[in-house]
Amino acid sequence: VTTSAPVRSQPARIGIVGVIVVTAVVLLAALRDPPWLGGVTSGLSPWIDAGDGGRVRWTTGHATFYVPSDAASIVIPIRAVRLTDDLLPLVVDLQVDGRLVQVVRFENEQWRRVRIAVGLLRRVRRVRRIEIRVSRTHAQSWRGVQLGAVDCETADGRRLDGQAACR
Amino acid sequence: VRTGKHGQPTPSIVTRRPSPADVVVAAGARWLARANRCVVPALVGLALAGYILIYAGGLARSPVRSDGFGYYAYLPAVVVHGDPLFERLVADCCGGDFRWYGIQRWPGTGRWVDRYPIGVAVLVAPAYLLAHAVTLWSGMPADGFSLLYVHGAGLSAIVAFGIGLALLRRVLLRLYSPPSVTATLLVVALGTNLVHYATWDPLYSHIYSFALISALLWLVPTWFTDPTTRRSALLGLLAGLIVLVRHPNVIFLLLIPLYGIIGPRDLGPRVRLLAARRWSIVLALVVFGAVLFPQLALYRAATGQWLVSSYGDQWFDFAHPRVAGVLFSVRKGLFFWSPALIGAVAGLFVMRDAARLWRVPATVVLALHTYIVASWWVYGSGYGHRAFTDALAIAALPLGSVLVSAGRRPRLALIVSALAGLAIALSLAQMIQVWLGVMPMHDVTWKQYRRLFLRFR
Repeated sequence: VTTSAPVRSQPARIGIVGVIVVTAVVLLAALRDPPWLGGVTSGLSPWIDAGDGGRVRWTTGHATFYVPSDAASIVIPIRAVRLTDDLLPLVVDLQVDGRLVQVVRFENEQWRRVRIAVGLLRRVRRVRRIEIRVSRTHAQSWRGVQLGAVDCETADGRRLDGQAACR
Repeated sequence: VRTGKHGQPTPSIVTRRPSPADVVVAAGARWLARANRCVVPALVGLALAGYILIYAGGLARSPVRSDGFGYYAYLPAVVVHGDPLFERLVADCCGGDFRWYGIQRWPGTGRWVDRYPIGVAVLVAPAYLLAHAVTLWSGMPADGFSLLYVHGAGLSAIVAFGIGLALLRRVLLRLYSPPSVTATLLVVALGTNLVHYATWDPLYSHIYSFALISALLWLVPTWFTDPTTRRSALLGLLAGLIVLVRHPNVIFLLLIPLYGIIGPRDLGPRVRLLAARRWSIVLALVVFGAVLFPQLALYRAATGQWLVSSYGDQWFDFAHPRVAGVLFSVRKGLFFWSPALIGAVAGLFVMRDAARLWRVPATVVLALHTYIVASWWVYGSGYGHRAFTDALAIAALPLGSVLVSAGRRPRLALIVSALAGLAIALSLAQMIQVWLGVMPMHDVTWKQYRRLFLRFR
């Protein structure tokens, strides 16, 4: 027994194509700078207890999170965790909306609070993309990088707690 | 012809009131016939619901993990970083070292070699490229691993599942009636680990192999009927993709020359037929070679050799195949975890009419596949025996014959339906146990299995 696909008429085909095109346009419009983008992260572990009452999350080699674009400055607590005691450094590049803004070189496990004046950069979208790129110059020396909760402030000193990736 | 009390003839087949079994079977057959058109969309919907449950419900974090990472890694390496040799990817994603056994530096050249071939990445590439474009448009992280990338790639498995089932339905409709086809598709999709590899591990190779082998089963009879240039090229393309997705699956290509052979007397005419079609075969081989070339070129660039074993010193032990283990063990036994497939073995003995044309090829290929699978060192974690997922479309052919045979006897049909229903229920229950983390994905013991039987917490 064989079956053959029913032949669709020309108006039906045009209708199907039209529905696909309209759906695609609506989807693309909804996906341009969407309001939920601030909650998106990539390359970050879930939050874990740091043991001192705070919370941290591990990064992969390339981690991304977002902060509100009305933040004038952000402070990112960051530290590198060792595997061995040799002195080979670990280098972290910090980028905002694809622009390199700071390079941090780690030679010990001390926490650093890295301040970035994001307000000086041109505003592109409703959120700013913060990227952290980790270069373990000697992969066997370092376990990885941890981030703490990010503090975000507007130009007039107002805190943006709870917005996007802010504390 | 029997004779009655007064000597008059009475027919041997008399009209009788249908038994309850007749009524139930007839109603079931009507329902299965009506469901035939919508069975594939319904199964795709079910798989999609499972995928959403897994990833939106937090049962798993990302579809890109374990072996799936190895199959997927080509996509960010090529699309995002433009470097198929992984140097830029490893620097970006992983801080300079994959720290994972699946992609390792090749001794001698020091270049990265992915033990998993490029086939899955090639098939997933359209969805991945679309995800890349939308990611750039939306402002999401364009790192090759963010939300749209991994779920664009992951959902490709649902597409492969749907295409594979749709083609298998067409193959089966050439052989069996619509009710038998519906029943066969339900058993193959739900009574095995097929849904698991379309949802939980969507970037493993198995669901793509299933779809490609379904396509091969659909194409081969038409190629023998009329080997047009298009069909010959398509045959080469499918054959190339089957090997590109998983190299040992080259044995499935035996289905092509063996199709239609019923006994030894068919071998001579078959050789003469293939010789007469040599130019169609040459065309298929050229396409086959072109499809495989990127993989060979990648091996050459990474290792300096055209043909390599990307698994290094892990290799087949053909002298000591563990056939009983791969078929019956609690650990990974095919029939232990998918008992519905016992019907496929029985079916090899009752394949009749048009289905007979597949009996020899199915028997030879399934036996060879079992031997090769049993000769491999280990099959890691997963649900059931995943190496057999690739061959489920072939197993569906004899399975359909069993259901057709049973359908001729109402009481037997009821018993077979009940057994198939139980096998499906058990398979789905155990799959959910695996998803919930109740049933381990590897090295299950009989004691452990009994303790966890049908427990969901």
